[in-house]
Amino acid sequence: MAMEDFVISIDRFEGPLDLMLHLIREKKMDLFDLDVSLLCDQYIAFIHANEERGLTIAAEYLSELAGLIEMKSNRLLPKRKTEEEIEEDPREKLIQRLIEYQKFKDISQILDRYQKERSVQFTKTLSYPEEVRIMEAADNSELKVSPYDLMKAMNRCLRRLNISRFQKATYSFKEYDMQDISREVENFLKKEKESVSFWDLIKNCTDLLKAISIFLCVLEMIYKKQVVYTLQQEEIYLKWSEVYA
Amino acid sequence: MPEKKAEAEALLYIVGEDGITTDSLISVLEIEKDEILKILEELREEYLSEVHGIELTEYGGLWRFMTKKEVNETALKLLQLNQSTTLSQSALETLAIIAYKQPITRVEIEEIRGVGCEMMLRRLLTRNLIKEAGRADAPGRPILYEVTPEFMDTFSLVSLKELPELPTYQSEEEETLF
Repeated sequence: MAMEDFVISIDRFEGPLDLMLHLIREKKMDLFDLDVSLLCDQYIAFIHANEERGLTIAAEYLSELAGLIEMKSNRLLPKRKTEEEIEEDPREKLIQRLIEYQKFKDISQILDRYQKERSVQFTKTLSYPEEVRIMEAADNSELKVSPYDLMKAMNRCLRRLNISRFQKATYSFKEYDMQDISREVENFLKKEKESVSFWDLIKNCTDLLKAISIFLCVLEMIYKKQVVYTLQQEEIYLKWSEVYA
Repeated sequence: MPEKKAEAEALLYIVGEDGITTDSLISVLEIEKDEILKILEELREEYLSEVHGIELTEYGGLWRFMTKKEVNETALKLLQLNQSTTLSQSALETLAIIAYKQPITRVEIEEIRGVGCEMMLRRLLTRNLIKEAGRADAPGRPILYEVTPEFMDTFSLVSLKELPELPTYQSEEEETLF
């Protein structure tokens, strides 16, 4: 089967229906009076061309291919009279599926426009409730600094702690012994009578790897039922389980 | 005592990207619904004026101040936009199907798209664009999905009614379509 030299990569398609619509458009076929045989041939040729280029063909493409081949062969064979006419015409069904899919493809383009418009409208982040708490604490103290000095200092600390943000990268390798971390977390949790937020656990971390190690460690403790946890307003709270102890 | 309008404006400034619902404004400001809606409408009108670079929006039921589209070019001189946060074609297709057909099961979505959607649904769930909405009365009691206020915000929608009507294709139109 002759195929054009230029073959579009199968990765460019969202799935078998997307591919079929492309072939229909390319060969100027009539979607409402679909030539299944022609579509089937085009589809096979396309799959082969992609296979020759060493591309993996997802299972979905092959299962639709099987359906197309079945439809094509059914049309070639004389129809047996015994077959019930009530049965849904697979060709009609395919046409309906293609139309339905095309609708959502069109809508997704409109949504894409909407999201691009929205993505250039900027908002500021929530003014942190932490600031309020800092000010309350300062009111009760006898320090001769204004709450604003304290706030500024605190914000500096918070910024310094912001290790997850990308900065100029320098490589350093540090390995953590999970047992050490495990002991650290255990001591920390045992010390507290009330539940502790996950943030409290990781806030002293100087690098991301340690924060992740602690998280893994906590997961294991939860799995071993050493720790109970709860989620409140997107914050994880942990408590050492006394049942285990 | 400052005017309620000034207080409302201040609250909207504080909440920033998180936004605030009409109901929250009512309870914080201790104000009647008619009154707050009038205030919000007034604020919106005022900010629409060309002298402001910020506007008041109500995407997904949350009131927020955000910069106007018109000031993009200038804003982008200051910021580099992270393109990786925009949704892919397959994510958009999946979301479109859910928005129009919700509540809908994974299998129903897959029937329309012709491809498996499990990973995609998981990704959309983590991004908070869709949520589970109970289970369907079908064998296996499959999970139903629907879109979230976050979805509405992503596409600048006040309500789902704002979505364009699903196109209908008739065979007479085939020339223009294909």
